Amino acid sequence: MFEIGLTHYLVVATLLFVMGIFVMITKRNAIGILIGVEMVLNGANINLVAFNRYNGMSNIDGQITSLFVIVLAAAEAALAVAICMNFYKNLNTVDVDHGDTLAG
Amino acid sequence: MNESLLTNLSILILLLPAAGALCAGALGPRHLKGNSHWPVVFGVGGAAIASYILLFQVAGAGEESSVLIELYQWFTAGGGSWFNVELLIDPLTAVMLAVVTGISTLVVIYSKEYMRHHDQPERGYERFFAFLGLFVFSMCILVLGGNFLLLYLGWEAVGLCSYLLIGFYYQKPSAAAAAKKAFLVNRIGDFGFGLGILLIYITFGCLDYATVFEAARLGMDHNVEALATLMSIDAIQASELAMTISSRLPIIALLLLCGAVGKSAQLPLYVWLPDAMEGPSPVSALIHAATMVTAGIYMMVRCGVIFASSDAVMMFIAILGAATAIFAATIALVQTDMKRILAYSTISQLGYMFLGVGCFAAGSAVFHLMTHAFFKALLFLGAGSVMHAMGGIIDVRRFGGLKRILPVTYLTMLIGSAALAGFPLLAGFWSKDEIVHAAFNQHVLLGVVGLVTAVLTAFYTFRMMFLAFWGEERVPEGVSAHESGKWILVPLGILAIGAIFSGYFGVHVHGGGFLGFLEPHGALHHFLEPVTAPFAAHAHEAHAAEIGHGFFAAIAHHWLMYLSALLSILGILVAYVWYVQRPWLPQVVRATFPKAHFVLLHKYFVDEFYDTVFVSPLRRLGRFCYQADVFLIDGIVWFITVIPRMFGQSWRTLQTGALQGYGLGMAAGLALIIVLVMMTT
Amino acid sequence: MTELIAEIPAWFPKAAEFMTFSPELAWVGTLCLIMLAPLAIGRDARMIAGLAVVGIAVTAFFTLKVMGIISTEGPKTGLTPDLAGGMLIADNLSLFFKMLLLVFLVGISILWMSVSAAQEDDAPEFFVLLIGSALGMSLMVSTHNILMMVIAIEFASLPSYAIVGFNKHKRISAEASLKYMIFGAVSAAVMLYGASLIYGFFGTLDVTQIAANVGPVLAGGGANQLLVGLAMFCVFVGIAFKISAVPFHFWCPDAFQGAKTEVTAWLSVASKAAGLLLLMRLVNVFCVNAGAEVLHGVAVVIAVIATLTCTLGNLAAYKQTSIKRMLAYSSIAHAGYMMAAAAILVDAGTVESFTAISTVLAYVVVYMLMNLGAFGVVALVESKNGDDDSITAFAGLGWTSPALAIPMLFCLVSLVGIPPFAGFITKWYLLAALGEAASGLYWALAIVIVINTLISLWYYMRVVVQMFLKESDKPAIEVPMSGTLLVNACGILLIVILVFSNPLKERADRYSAGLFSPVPTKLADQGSADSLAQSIPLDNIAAPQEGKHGG
Repeated sequence: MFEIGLTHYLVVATLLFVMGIFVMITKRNAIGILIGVEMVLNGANINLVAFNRYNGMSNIDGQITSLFVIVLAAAEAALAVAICMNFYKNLNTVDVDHGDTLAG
Repeated sequence: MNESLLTNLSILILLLPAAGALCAGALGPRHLKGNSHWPVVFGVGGAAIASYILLFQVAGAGEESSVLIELYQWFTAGGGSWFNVELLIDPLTAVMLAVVTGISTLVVIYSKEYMRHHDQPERGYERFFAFLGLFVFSMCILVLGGNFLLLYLGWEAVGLCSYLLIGFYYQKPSAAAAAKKAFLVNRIGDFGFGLGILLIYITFGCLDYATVFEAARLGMDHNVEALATLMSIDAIQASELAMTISSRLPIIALLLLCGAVGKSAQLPLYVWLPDAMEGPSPVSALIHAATMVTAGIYMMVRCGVIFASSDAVMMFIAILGAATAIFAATIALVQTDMKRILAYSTISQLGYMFLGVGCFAAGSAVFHLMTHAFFKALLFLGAGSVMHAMGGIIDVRRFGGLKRILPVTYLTMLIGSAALAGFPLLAGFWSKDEIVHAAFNQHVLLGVVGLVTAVLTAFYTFRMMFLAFWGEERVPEGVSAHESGKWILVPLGILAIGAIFSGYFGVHVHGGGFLGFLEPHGALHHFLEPVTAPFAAHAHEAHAAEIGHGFFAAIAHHWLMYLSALLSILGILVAYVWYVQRPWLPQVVRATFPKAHFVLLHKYFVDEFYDTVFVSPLRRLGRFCYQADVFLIDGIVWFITVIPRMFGQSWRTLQTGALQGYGLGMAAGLALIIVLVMMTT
Repeated sequence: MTELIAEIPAWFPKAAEFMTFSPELAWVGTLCLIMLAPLAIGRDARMIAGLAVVGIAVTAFFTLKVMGIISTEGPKTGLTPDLAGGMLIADNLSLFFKMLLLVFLVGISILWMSVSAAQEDDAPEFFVLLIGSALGMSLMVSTHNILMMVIAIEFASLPSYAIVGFNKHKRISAEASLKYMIFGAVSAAVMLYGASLIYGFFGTLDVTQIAANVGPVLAGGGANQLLVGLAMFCVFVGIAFKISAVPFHFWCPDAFQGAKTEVTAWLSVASKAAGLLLLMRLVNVFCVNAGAEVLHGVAVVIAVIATLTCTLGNLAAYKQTSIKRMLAYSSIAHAGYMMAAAAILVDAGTVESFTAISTVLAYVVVYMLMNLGAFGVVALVESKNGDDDSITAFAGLGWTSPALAIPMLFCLVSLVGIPPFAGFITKWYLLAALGEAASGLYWALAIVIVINTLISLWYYMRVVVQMFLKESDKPAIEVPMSGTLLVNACGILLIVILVFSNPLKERADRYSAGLFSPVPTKLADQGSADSLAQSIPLDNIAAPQEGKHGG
């Protein structure tokens, strides 16, 4: 069995980050973009927890921070979904490219 | 002096007109309407009362008559040095304030009736009074300011007010054009003025009068030690600074002179003033005769240290003044528009003041400024009264013999004209005589030009009076002429009293022969001595040998006085003969008598001469400038804006509205930033 | 009794600490009150607005009180369980900004009352969101901790997304809030990811502690330098989004145009100012230890972004037809001007940095007045013109409604930054600060700003031309007295500040001075940082996990 170390967590986090960014750029669906955002946030969370665990820190700042991030993500998701619903009500779609009235 | 009293007074002088203007402007359109004059009357009147109290305070102070009041720090110039809002109160300021606010009060009162037709306020009535109040406020800042920044601020602000008021009847194309012309011509002068102030700042590192003048004086004297102490620098730097100062002062003086030439309508920038008569008559009286146009003289006297340091510059000012005086006087000979005659006359009189400054007689220049303010404001207001009675017509060929219809206007204007003509014992006689005397001391030719101008002045002034008020009674068709009401006549009366007696402020009374008991250089000059000291110092250097103090000098001076009195009466007599006794003479003489014909032709020739040499090239230049404006300037402006417009347009298309596009834009922007940062580091 | 006191845990804040952070507490109290108010006093817009103003006044009272404490005792931290350092700071800068926000909130409330109150059913929600975002903004400026910064930015942003979309039935409003929200979420996520990396490198999120170690890492070169630089840039992205610095500005014109005008006015000043002051505080703390080379690098980045921001903002404003959109771009340009001052802060020594912060403070105050006045007039005109926000809707306003057109003129000329209005004086201070910093970079920035001022003249004057030189047959518009008074007060204040600029400058100097004591004193008791850490058995929590993994 190989030892699972900091690097492994970091690789997972980085993958999540990159995938999240990729999703944000490619998706046209607003909910899709938000899922990308969640992936990046979770990447950050993994980073925080892993660093806290492996870098020999005497406190638990990382863990606590990750808790805050989870709460933030939840709050943001709740609001985002509400805004998406409002968008859908007005435009009958959540495709962000349809919102191009405001331009120039 | 009681400094806190002075502080309060000067704040009152500034705030009252501003508050009046604000009140008239804000409440006028909806609430005050035809009563919009009241806040301004009270504001300016209150300022006038405060000014006179201030004048007495300063006059009673004796030696220590100069006070610098620092109101507050304004803004930093960086590096911990501040531009302050500071007021300088000294005899010159006190006299200027008294003149400005005093005349303004009378003009504002006069305007109450003048700006109405059939007792209905004209369109823009409240705007007019708001602008008048604003003008008084600006003018007070100009004369009260204790540094060049405030001077410049007031300078530009009075220019703006002048522009707004010349263009008061902005629906009239000629008025709008005149306003534009005044503004543009003044720009030329102000450009030099601004550069001058910038150069002062570069040279001295500050803009307050006290430091600049003291440093300039020490620099000219090459008093390195004192200069080092004043500027808190070491001796080597001080010595360098002294060199810089002595080499730069003439340049600074010339640049400042540009501003004075523009504002005080001297050659070659006088062209805006005659056109400025498109504004309402009270405006002509206040701004374009009594106060604003004298700002140039005020500035030169204030900056005596800078101007008097160079004899060449002073000579230039004197020649410029003399040339303008005679030039404008000759033009005035043939004008038929009453206000234009007076406008050229104003230019000519301002030329006298320049001549006075240039001949180191700054006190006399200020003296003439004061007396001129009285009689010229009187004449303009009188002309306005005539215009009011004639239904807006001001051409002396279209009416005549008005002295029975407008008896009070006639009488007061007669006094004003006599004062302007230099009739003995009236205000203009004393002040003009002093300047001519100083001019003789400087150079005989300057003096002769002064005397010739005096004859011309007497002639054209009374030509105007005789044409308008004497002879056969004629009024334009459809006009029911009537004398104006008390709101117009009372200011005329007060100004007439001033036109008679204001000369005696500058006259020293003592025993002697005919006219000899009244010696020039009296109270006013003594009062102004602290301010005019730099001129006096240099004048003594230049003319110590020439000015005798003995019996002969006194006789010479008295002869000059008799001579100028005679010449003035001569001018009036000629006008009388030509336009009253033999009113047909000008016409007949022109046709039959070759000699008189020659004289007329000569006058005509002068007019033509100026027309071809100055006016039409100017017009052609104007046309050229217009073309240049259309094709070149507009083209350049178009070309300059085409770049931002192009970028703006392309930038707008980048913002497509689609989020994916924004993402792309963000990525591109990041790449651009990385490239730029790489390039910069 | 004694036993009861003994049972209060050590981390529980002391009374003095509560006092120091009483403005925040009052702020939260106001929020709760307004949320609960409909149960007691109904949903009447006037009542709710009155309640909000009372709450704001109470908060302002406490803010002033704390200002007094701070001025004698120096800056303080506290009211948070101690992680590694103080998460909340009360110092001159944060209190100054709180006061500014509170005053601005009152202005926005008045504006809202005059244009929107009549047809608004959701007054309590509106005020909760507005005041909530204000609290978030004030927290942004009151912290040294990156986690707290993230929370504060989110706290400011989430309500902002919602009030931008407050016109639920308007298509552009929905679109605007969606765009704003997605941009905000993405940049917040990126910022958090950067923060997690920074945490990994330095073992803390406290900026003062990071600053102590950042110099060697960033100057060392190699992969670490790149990674830390990247992480910091990620954090910067989150702030740049709030400032709407190019290229993170795309949301700004869209959100500002879609939102109600009073909301636009609020966001255009408050959120940008909060972002800027946060940035200034952040880079300023880094100033202490980070070595000249690093600082120069950061200065260049900020300078480049500032240049792009003001230039592109002005250029894009050139051809706008909607006045709200034009003013939105103008606000981007102004953010760029203020960022130019932030660039000085990093590079130069203390005296210049001091000038830079005070410059930004003065600028923000004047900028608030200009934007409140300009957007106020837009809101008033728009509300009587059937939501027509095109520039041509202002035709002839100078003749029909001078009481609106004249303050608009004042504000626009002031926005250009030419005399005789306060915008000139602040731009003068900005240029003077750049000139004093005396290096090629800052001279270049100064030139950029001057050129931009010239460019901006043209598009601001388009509105003036419409107002005063175009004829209109429209009747005079009747607007509420309160709105007219508000915009006129802004216009008059702009002149007053120019004439008496000294008090503003002095205050700005004073409030920026406190920023330079690197670590504020902990309020509770000085030696408690270590004891506090021991009192909560953090190690005990961490240890079992370690044990688990280890096994």
